[in-house]
Amino acid sequence: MLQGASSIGGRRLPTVIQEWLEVTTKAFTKLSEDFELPECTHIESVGDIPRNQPGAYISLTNEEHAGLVGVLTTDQGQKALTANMLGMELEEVAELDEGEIADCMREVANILAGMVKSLLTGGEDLKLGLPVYSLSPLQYGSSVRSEVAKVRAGEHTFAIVIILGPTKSGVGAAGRKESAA
Amino acid sequence: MKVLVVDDSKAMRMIVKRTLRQAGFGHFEVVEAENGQDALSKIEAEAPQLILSDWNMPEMSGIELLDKLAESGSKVKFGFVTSEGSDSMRQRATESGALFLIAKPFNADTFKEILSPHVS
Repeated sequence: MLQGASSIGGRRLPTVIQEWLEVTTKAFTKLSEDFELPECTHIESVGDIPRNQPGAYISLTNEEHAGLVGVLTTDQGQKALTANMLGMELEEVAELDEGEIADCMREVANILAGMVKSLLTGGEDLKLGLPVYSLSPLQYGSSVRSEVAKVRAGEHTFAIVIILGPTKSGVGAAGRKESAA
Repeated sequence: MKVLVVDDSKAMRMIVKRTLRQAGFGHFEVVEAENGQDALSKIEAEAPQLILSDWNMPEMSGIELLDKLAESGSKVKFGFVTSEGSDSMRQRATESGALFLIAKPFNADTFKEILSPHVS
């Protein structure tokens, strides 16, 4: 776990990150329903980001918070998510290249971040970045904290990742692009 | 009707095209662009009657594209299909001349309801 327990806007970082994690998990469950994945069940919440799973991240920032929302899963999990998202059979997805799978994962993170923004109290002020795909977990400094919720949909497990710190921590700088006027 | 779908995600362009078909607009001719800059070229070459654009894209965002079109005096119908649907973004879109903003995730019913008044 990336340690750190500084205060953001008078609220302890662990409190804020738990709120983000709950909202993001709720949003992913809703998105899974829209994609007609099997029903999502929460397995556990942990601090460590899975080291052996690729996934997509997107930054969400405002004046106080700098965060990344991520969705990680196995190669098979990514293909299942892609198949449901695109309305394709798994056999068809097998013919897609890694770039196309990564594109789908980035779009999942993008949609998820938009849902989080609308669901989170005060989310209106958050600015979305451009989603990025990573084969390995992202690492940040001591002022940043991470939390992970593992959810299962059918035979696949998805890790919903929140990496959060004060804006000055620079989390989410990669791919950031202001989206709201 | 010719529709230009603008999104940096190929997957999302596929989903938009599929949703158009599911919403009963399968007869539309669809052309694609990867960002606002690419869209400007496609608009000149293809003369679409409707543009469905993402907001947040590299090179040139959807709102920058819309503002460019307004500056040029373009009257092409323009709507956003984007991951954010906040009140401030809807207001910004409307002020720049967008007809609608569809927030992701969406379905065929949403497309049918929102697009129908603009594609008759």
